Amino acid sequence: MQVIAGLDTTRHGHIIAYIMCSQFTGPKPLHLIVDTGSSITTLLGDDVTRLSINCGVLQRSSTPSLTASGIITPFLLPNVQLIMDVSHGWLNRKRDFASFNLANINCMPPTHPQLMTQQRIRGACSLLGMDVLGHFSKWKFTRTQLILETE
Amino acid sequence: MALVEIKKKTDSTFNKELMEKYHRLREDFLWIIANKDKLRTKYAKKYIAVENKKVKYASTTIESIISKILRANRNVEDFAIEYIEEHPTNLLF
Repeated sequence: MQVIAGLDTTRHGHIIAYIMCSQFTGPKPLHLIVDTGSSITTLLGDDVTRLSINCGVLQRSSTPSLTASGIITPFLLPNVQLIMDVSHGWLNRKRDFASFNLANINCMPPTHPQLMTQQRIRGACSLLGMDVLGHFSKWKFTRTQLILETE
Repeated sequence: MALVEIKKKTDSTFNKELMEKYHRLREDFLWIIANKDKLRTKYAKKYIAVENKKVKYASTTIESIISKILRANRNVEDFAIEYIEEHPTNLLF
């Protein structure tokens, strides 16, 4: 199975996915950056606002997260499906969606002072972490794409 | 449930309309990424909502751009929404 991320000028990989969870009635689009520095896929504040996620009903993670701005304790959004466009089958000739079923992903609420970094991170898209990326054993960079492939 | 499941095109959740919307949104997000420098000249420090590679709404906060879209009786999910930084930035997570 193969997932293709688009590369920006700084060679970061960007993936567009749909996200589904119990708080939504249907799939919602999500722009993720490929982030091997993130253990768990994480929604940042702007996406939490845009997706209308109610953090008030979510549990906080029992494991704090170490970020570049210090330690924070994110909320956990349970039973999430991340749905991406994939190629699969013989010579990766079939195109379908694949659903990555995750028990939890992190949610960074936009305004909670004890949970967020001091400065609101504007413009940063959410992070596709190792919980999903670890599934891909082969990584290939081309001029415009990052190709992630399973064995 | 398995970690990864292939959703066939016949899956009712993933109908043709949703797939087409996905591909359009993907094109719009990638268009924003590829055209950030050009967009910066007009939309620096603003959130933009893009549909079919055209900026339809712009605003200074995520909340206000969502309000604009909803006031126009449109769905937020129909747009690729991104923040345009004033200057090119590096990422440190």
